[in-house]
Parts: sequence; structure tokens; C-alpha cells
Amino acid sequence: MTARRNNPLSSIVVLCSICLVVSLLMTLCYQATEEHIESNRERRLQAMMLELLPDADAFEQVAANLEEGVSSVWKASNGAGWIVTSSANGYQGRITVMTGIRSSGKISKIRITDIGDENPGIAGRVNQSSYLNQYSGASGISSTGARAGANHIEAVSGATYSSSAVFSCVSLALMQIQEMEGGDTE
Amino acid sequence: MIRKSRKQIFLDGIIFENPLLVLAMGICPAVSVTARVSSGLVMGLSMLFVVLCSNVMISALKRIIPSRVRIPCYMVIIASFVTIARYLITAYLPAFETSLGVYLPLMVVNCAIFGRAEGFASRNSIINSAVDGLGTGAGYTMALVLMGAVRELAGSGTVFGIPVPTGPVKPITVFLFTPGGLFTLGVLIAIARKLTSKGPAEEQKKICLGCPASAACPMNGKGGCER
Repeated sequence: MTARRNNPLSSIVVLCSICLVVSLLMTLCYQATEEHIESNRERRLQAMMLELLPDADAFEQVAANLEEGVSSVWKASNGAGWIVTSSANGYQGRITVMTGIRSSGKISKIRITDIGDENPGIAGRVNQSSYLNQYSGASGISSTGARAGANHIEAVSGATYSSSAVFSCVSLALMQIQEMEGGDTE
Repeated sequence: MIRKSRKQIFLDGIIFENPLLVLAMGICPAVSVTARVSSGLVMGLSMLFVVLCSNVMISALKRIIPSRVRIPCYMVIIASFVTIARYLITAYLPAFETSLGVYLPLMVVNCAIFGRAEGFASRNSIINSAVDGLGTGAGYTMALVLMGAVRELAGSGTVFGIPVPTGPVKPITVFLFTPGGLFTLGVLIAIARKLTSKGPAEEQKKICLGCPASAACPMNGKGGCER
């Protein structure tokens, strides 16, 4: 049976010491597995980026002046293009998108990596290939004007806020790359 | 309190007090992760690890833990082992991190683990608690693997991802969803009861043995709370 020492001080001391001991255990385990977890994450990220830009071999993160809303830019080692991660506000949450851009400036493929606090049912309608595939092959995007053009992106009705958030993310990504490339030539 | 041999304790955990099929504990992860055998197996093994380690630690500390704060103490111990299991799975079996999803951290509040801590480890020797943890964990793992095999075979025509010829029978997709999990669990529980049943009196005694509140219950040994 458990001890009947019900004096409050001993309860506090025992609970605190148990917490300390198990924290120590967890710390040891964390240190032992941290490296593996980190390399797994890195591998998963690389695989995800490769899916967006299949011509590339490996990616290196680029240190550049980032536009507001852009969180990271990766460059393909063989110069096939870039991967830009950017985010924009939707209806009630922040949507994060990874955009693969070829060296020609055309979008290769985009992927929504996080929908934040957006309603999963509504934002999920945006996260479908019929919507996302519209971006593939476009070089500059517009959401208004002529409907038939290759650069025209049709929003998902009923999920307009989420659609325009994705649209802003991709525009930001294109802007970021244009700026970086422009800076290079100057 | 009835003394049991270690072999009996182990067999109880696997068969006569199987947490999933007899005591009906830990159903939530069982229904959710067993659409594939492999994730059921990993879930079961992490459960085995957590229940074994927490049983040993709680049994070792049973004279130090004041009864007034025993619940938070058990909680902290179980939570830390669940976290350790999660680190290990994330590091060495990354594919299962996503397939087990939230059910891995939710093991902290799994009543099967908690029931063993409160109902067994807190009043038995370290070795007996370890045997009980092994038995319970192995019983849970076996039940999950069995359930996963039935669901994967019926739902996608494979076992461990290997296609199994099922003849003219087409896979029944509903087995991969929660309702299919509940069907499978219900049928397995019925079979387990049929196989382990020893008549109503024994049945009642067994329910009291597996009940975490049996120590405090005035009806313990008098036919159980249903009388």
C-alpha cells in the first residue's frame, strides 16, 4: 500500500523529486534521440521539396533579405530553381504554402504545408489538386481579368478567403524570387 | 487479497484480464490505429514499454509516494515514459509518428496503463509488477495485431502491406474506418468472452479483480457492484 504520510510538506517534496527524476530521464532520452529526429525532419523536408521541384538534386537554404510573410528560401544545388515558404492570413488562420519555382521563373508546383487555425473543412477545399494545379506552369499570376489565360487562378467558391491567402503566398514567393534575381543582375 | 503465481499474473494480462478484449480498456487508440497491422503493432509495443516501465517505477516508489498525491505522481511517471516512447518512435520509426498521430501522446491518459498502476503496481512487488506490465502490454499488443490483421485483410486485402489473395471477395473499405474498427472489436470481444468464460460466478469475480476500484469497493468479493 502507499505510504500514509499525509503531511503536506512530504507530499510536495515527493512529487517535486519525482518530477525532477523523470525530467532527468526525459532529458537524457531527448539528447540521445535529438540528432536522429533532426536528421529525419531534414530528410522529410528535402523529400517534400524534391516533390515540388523534381529536376533538383539537393537544396540549400539561402540567406537573403526576405519579404514580409516569406519565412525561408531554398535554392536547388544544380540551379533547377527555388523553393519559397511563405504565409498569409486566411479567414481565421494563417496559411503556409511552399512554392517550387523553376529557374525560368515558372511555378513548378505548390503545396499547402499548414492551414493554421483555418476551418479544416473549408480550407480543405482549397487544398485539392484541382485548385493547386492551376498554379503549375504559371509565370505570373492574376486572380482577375481574362479567365482563359494560363496565369489566371480561379478561386474556390465558398472558400474565397483561403483561396486568396494561397494566392498571396504564391505572389509573395514570386516577388521574393524576382527581387533576389533582380538584385543579382544589378 | 488473492496471491497469484507469476505465471498466472502474466497469463491473466494476456488472456483472462486482457486489457482490450476482456476489460475493454484502451479502446480509443485500438479503434483508431489498427487500420494497418504495422501501426497496431507499434502502438502495442509502445504501450508495453510504457506499462512495463511505469509499473516498475511505481512499484519501486510505492512506499515513498504519499497516498494523497499518488494520482499526480502516477500521471507524471506515465507521462514521462510516454514522452520517451514518443522520442524513440520519432527518431527510429518516423513513418509511424504520423500514422499513430495524437494517440501516442494520448497514452498518458490511457486507462489501461493507469488501471495497472493504481490496481496492481501500487500494491505488489517490483518483479510481480514487471511481470504484470509485460503480460498486460503483450496482451494489448496481441489484441491490436489481431484486430489490425482482420481489418487490414478485410479492408484492403493485405496483411503487413503484403497482398493476400482473397479470391472473389473484394476488400470492404468500411473496415478501414472507425465503424469497421468497432465491428471488429465487438466480434473479437464476443469471441474472447466465449473462450475465457467460466460461468457467471467466475465472471463476476474476474470483473472485481480487474477493477481499479476493487481495493476500496465494499462489494469486492461479494458478487461485485452489479449485485
